[in-house]
Amino acid sequence: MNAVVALHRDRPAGAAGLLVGLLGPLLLAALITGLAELVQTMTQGTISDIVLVFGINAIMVVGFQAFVGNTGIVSFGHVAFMALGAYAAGILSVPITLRAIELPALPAVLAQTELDVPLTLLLGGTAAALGALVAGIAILRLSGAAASIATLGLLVIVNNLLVQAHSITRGPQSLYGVAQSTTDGWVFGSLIVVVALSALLKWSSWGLRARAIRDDPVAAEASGVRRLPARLIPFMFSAFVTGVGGALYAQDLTAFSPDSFFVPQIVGVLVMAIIGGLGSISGALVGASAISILTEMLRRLESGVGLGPLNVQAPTGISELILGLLLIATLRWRPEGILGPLELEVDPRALFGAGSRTSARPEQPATGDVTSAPATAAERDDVRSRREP
Amino acid sequence: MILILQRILDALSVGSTYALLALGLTLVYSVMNLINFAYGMMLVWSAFIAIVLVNASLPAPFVVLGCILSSALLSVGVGRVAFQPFLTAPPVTLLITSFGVELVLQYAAIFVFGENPRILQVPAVFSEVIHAAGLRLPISELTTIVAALLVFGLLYIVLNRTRFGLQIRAAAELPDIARLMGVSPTVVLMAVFAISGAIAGLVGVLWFAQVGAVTPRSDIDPTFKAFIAIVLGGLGNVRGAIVGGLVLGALEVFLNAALPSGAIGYTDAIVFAAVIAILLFRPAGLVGVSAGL
Amino acid sequence: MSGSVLAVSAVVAGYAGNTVLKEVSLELSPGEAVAVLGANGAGKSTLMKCVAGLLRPWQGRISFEGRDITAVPAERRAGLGLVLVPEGRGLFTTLTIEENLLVGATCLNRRTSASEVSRMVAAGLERAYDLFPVLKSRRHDLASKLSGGQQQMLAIARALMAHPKVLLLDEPCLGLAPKIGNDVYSALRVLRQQGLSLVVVEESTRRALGFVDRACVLKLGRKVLEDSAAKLTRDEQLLEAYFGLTTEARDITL
Repeated sequence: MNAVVALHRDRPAGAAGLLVGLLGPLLLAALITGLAELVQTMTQGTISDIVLVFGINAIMVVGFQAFVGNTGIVSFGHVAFMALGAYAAGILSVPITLRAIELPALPAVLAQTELDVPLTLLLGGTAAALGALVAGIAILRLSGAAASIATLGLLVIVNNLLVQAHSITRGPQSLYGVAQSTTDGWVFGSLIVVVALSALLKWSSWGLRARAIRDDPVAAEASGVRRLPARLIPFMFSAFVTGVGGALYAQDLTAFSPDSFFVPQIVGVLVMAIIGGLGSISGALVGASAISILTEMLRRLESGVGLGPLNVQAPTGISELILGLLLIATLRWRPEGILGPLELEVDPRALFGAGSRTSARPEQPATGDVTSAPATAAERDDVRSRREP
Repeated sequence: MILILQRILDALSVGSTYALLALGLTLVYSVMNLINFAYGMMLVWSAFIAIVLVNASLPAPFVVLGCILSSALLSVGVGRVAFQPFLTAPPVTLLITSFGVELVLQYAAIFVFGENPRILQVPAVFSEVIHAAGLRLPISELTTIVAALLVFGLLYIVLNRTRFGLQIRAAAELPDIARLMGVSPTVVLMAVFAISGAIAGLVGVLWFAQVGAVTPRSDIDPTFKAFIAIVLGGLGNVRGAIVGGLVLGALEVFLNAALPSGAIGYTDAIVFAAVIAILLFRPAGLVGVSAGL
Repeated sequence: MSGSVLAVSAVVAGYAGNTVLKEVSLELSPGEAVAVLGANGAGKSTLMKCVAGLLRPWQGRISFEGRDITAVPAERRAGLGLVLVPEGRGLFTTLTIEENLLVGATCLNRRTSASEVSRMVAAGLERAYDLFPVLKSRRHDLASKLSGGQQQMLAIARALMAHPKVLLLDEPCLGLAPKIGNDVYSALRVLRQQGLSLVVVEESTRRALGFVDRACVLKLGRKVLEDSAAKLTRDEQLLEAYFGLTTEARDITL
């Protein structure tokens, strides 16, 4: 008799198994949404923005995990996709008359089109995905650490382009007047959708091919899996999700500049993903929730909180310190994160005593590696792999 | 012709700085899989210490010496506490760990010095320019080139002509075999962190003396440049670091000169794109990855 | 147990969740030569790594000259007189021949005074060049330029720089032509005469048995057989049939 709710590394076989694989993360996302709404009602909208940003962060972490978990390549440049999504959605949602004043040199097509949610979200995601296509073709053939560094380069390139393209983006100055259309509904609705899509990708043959390249590039290529397309699909999907997050963010902030999307923004998503576990969508959601709560508490501490008779106030920037220490500690003692490669699985068939757990496709056991792949799978063609004893 | 010579000089100066940075990074990488994202913070800390020493009215040579020594110490401390426990971890794990270390070092700098820019005052001679043979020879650029040559020379002697340098080279190529011969991995690791830190100390002073001011968040630029140089040249060997740094410097200077004024702002993006393009054809870098230092 | 220069007692060891050695014991008396035989994956190299200190056993002890060295890190063991010539030779290809030899002497630094170290290094170099003249003539060449057999000679010479009492050799004839392998064993004979105790890991049974006093056989991490070389030579077919050990072609002269 199988459990209805459990943590598993892979999904049951067959089409029914695919739906089962979907259900866990989806329910987790729904649970988070429910809790978020509960918090909103309980606090009567006073921390509404915090809840909103939490939802957006959750989307970003899911997007990030979709790439890193499936390919084993840690991307430091995902903020670039956030920026692309934010600017694409942002520019086209500024009311036309305001836009004419703000960006007088805008090409006609862009100057005349005004969009709002959900089109802006789709546009933001698509813009980011297109960027990922171009960048991916260049970067994704590199391996391991070189690819990660190349993604940093991507961030710099996008940042540079945004700052330079005055006529389209207002350059280093703030783009303002973006329509404030981001609501709880759009954020958490998008979260549920992207979680479902990410789960679909993970359990599809595309996800499998990417993970095959991740775990054993030589064997995978010998079996006919081509490295670049296998990595490119998760990259573009991940960029799309991150772009949607960026678009939501843009239409929440209503004003931002290229500075809002640079190295400091890497930290949050990175820590959330690693704490939760880079190997699973459930982990991404858990990590996002845990760290969001933590940072909120730290923020309270920074502005002073009463602790019994004492008023405790932490120095500014302490959240940075704590996150940094947390990151190091996690990598040291539990590099696979809270959930590791395990996904939450909800199998309603077990309620009726049916549904046996024969794995669809057994995957490799996790080691202490950050990306829960066998030691240095992505590094295997890297000369440095000779270091392993 | 004069113009080309001028550009070459500028490229050498910029390239030397990058080469030194790449060298500091690659020394540690050759012994353990660490590409240190926190390296730029070592430069920042060196600059802040320089400011403190200058405010204490120390003469310039002692300021530089003080920075080099303190950076070496800081590097050894960070290496011992934060990185040695990760000795056998794969490169990506270490990269992320170094990200965490960067955050911690940055917070410490914010805590001690605040977020506002501080100015590093340099002796007037540093800002002077010699004019000879139609060329502009800024003292700062000449100093950088001379300093770089000194460092390369010293390092060459230490690595190739001393007993301990031999141990470092052996450990860089085959760490386990070196252990079998009696080479202590801890001692080699700490030595390499010390040298890497000393280089960061020197470059930190040179870099921020030219830039003029430093904030706790100024580490990104040096870190990025170091990363690109090391990946461009080839990870883990001295030649790769020097070649990567010089080529990066040359790319920057010549692009800056060649681009029309409207496009100059795009220099960073174009340089990065060029590097990625080079990596596509030579994924192991221009010099490539070699077995040892 | 007393009187043995090297003793491995009930060692259990392996890698991340995979037990390779299951209570293996072995003793070596001064001046003895022992062979460790077994098929691929039997645990021979793992055993050598444990003895050399590169792998920490989960259970059991390793003693050297009566002293428990189980907790002694690898970089200290050479200094005690226990040196491993690793599988595949492990030469530093970016260093010259002489530099390789000098690295081999690193462990001496902790043992004695600087002047004594210089003397021992000089003596070590002289012994190496006497034993293997080809190394002397090419001593400023990169180690990578040597042929397979010459590399093995260099690896042994490098190990000798530490003035060891016990020499461990992990598959010294791996990848070498049979004639060259014979040369290697000739050199090992000279070393035995000089008083060295040896442990040789070999897959090639006959050659090893012709050289050592005793041999043991590992199978799937356990020691299944141990006897004098003479007795084992008579039961060659047994070894081949039951343990999958190889014997090589007939034209080997031992």
